[in-house]
Amino acid sequence: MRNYVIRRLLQAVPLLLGVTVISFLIMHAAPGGPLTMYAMNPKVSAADIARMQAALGLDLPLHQQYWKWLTSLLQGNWGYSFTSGLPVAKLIAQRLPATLQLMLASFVLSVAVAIPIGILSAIRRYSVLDYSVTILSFAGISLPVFWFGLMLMLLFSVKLHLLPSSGMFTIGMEASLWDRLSHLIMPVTVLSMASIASWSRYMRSSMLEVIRQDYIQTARAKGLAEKTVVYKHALKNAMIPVITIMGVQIPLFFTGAVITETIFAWPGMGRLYYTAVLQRDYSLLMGILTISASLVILFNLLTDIAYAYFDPRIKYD
Amino acid sequence: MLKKSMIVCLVLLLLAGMLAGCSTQTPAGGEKQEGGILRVGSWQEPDYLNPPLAEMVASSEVNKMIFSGLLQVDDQMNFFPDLAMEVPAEENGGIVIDGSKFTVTYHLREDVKWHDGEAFDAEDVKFTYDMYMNPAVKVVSRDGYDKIENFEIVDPHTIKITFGEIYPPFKQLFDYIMPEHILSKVADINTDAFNQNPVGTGPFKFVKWDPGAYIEVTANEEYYGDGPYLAGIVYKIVPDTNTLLTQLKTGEVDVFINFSWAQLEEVEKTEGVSAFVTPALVWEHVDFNLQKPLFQDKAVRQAIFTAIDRQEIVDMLMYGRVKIATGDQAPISWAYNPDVKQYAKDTAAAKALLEGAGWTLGADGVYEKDGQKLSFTISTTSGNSQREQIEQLMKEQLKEAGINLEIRNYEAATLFGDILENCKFDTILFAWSANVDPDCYTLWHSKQLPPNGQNYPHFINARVDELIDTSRQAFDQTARKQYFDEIQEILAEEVPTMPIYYRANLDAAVNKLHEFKPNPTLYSNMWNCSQWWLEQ
Repeated sequence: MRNYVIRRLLQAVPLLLGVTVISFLIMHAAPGGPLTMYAMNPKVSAADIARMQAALGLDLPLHQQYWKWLTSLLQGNWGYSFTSGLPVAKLIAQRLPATLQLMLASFVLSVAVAIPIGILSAIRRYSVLDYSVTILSFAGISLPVFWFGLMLMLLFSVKLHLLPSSGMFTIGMEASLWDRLSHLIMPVTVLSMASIASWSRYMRSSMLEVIRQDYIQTARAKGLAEKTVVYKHALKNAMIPVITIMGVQIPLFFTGAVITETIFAWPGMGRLYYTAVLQRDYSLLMGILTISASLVILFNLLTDIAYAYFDPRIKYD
Repeated sequence: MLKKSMIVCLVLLLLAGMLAGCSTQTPAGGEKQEGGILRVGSWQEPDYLNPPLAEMVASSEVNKMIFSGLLQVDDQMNFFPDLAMEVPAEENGGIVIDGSKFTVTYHLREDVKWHDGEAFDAEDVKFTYDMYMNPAVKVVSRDGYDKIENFEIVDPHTIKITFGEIYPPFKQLFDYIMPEHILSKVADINTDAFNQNPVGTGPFKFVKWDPGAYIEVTANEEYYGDGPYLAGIVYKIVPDTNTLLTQLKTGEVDVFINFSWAQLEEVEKTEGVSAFVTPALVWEHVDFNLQKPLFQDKAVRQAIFTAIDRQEIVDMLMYGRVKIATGDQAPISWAYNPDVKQYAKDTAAAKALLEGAGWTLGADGVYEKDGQKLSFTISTTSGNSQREQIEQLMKEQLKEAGINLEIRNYEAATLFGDILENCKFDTILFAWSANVDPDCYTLWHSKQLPPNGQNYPHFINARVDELIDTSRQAFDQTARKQYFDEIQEILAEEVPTMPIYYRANLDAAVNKLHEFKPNPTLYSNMWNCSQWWLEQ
């Protein structure tokens, strides 16, 4: 197992490098650039723009720009944002805690709700509970995040005045736990909605498949309690496809929560990423993409390791 | 036990005391109250809190609260002195013309202190000039500063600036002064921590910037001018305009700068809140690419202009509350000339113009000439629903006149960075934001064809060149006006661009906030934030 992990980590390096090269090329292939907004400003002359291009290193050939970025990165310097001049590492670090809070809370909520719902649906197939969960799941997958978030805000903030409408905290009350939690409730609900809906469906179908297996019948025939059959034997085997899905979707929480973060004014990485794309802030984009890619690789590895725990037949060497 | 009469006396005394207290607390009408934290909501986040480096409107809003300049512009587009003692003019000896050069003298206030206690003096102004001209500093533009030939510090509170050519917009320069005692000692101004932690001379001091969330400033007790009356301002960043509107309704923000027309009805319905519709210096227009053979016949351009119905556009999208544009100068500018050729919708006249130029109506309802159909594309920023609707309306209107319009939109960075910049468009719909000075050199002069300037239509007209050059040679407003008037007449006749409407800024503020006066210029709505006060 240890050798396997080390081998995977070593394989990750050229993979990551390849990802950064492709990202870099695609970024520069897109029309426009970080200096586009200056074209609209009547005070900015062509000489000004040429000067700024040179200052940002954008007049160098592509491979030189990439090489400069890579060598700085390896020395620990993530570069400076083109639009704000701040160090990229600092920008990302500033937004990371907000993203982590949102992501962790959503993940915990999703797992806590989706897995039990999926199991119950599978065990009591075609019951009233199953049908209602199915309908709610389809609603959850189909509802546009944007609309759902705004409806929640309208109901709970404007009409009922129960929850604050947006932001991470009320200014002046940063230390209050209840204040933070009340700000967290709506964004987490909105963000988890899609994953709860889809994960519970996967759990249900995976569970159904496992329950029909012969060895489950054998376990029942041996006289084991239903609870043991379901949770000890069936669940462990049913988890494998579900873990795959979860492992692939978790890295998406980092940069994919853009819509939720925008609606609820949550200062996270998703919004940072989206703004950087619009402004063609190449420096910041490379930093975020590198982290994003590393997370995907890391979580894939963790998922594979988790397989070994859930299915003893799987051995790595 | 107190006697009954004593109790009555005590109660009466108490009541009298309370009433006396009440009367001192309620102010007489219009009396300014101090204190209170104002929450301003913005959907953009500033980039640099260092004005010469900053590009975004959000940055200039925050910077206006923290920094001061030699002169400022009020909401009626008049200059007034800020760090300078008076506005320099030829009458008061502030401007002295010498052939093709001129010298401006500024007398500086002597009672100004930086937020860290240091005194402000002429060195700071000189340093600001050096900063703009320093090739290593990533200033957005040094337009105007590069025309300064000599900068003389006569004494710590008097400066004389000599320009190498007559430059009427010079009063817009030095609108932010930077601290010499801090920035001269910094290794690299572009990445220094000062840009996120500024020190200025303005009515509010910087407190903190929580990235993505808000910027907090507090009242500058030592402010040299009148005020500030507010205890502090919080500039909240709320990227979604629907959420921002919600925050206005729940009372989580007090001011919502720059909301959209679609939200106007909601804002006007909200209790305790007023909407401000302020005509701006921004004009929305459709440029023709005069390099394309199709547009080289003036009759075709005039016909297209006559076929569109701008009144319908304004009525449908902005509830008729903005004015149709007649040219590149907005009505609030002194250079505005309304007496130019008018183009109201007249489909019959448009068709007559086309037929007079040799076009014949084809079987498919589209005009054609020499095998070429009168068909072209229009581009604008995709995702901007207002502009997309303008395009749809234009398409329908042009169809009536036998002209085919194809819509091809691009995302903003692509549109401005590639399509506009490299003139890859047939026609393009976007807005220009004018400055306080009506100078239009970069837009219409033949020397400003891209990439040198912003004459994207490729408009070349000798008389306009002459008029523009002459208008840049005089300071006298009356003299300059006649040149701008003629420029607008020629533009209306030649139609290198179709002006659509003059934008209005939409801002909302709670009624408890007094002295909020939206400013249509680039000096932003915060120009008089030292005068704002909140009812407690």
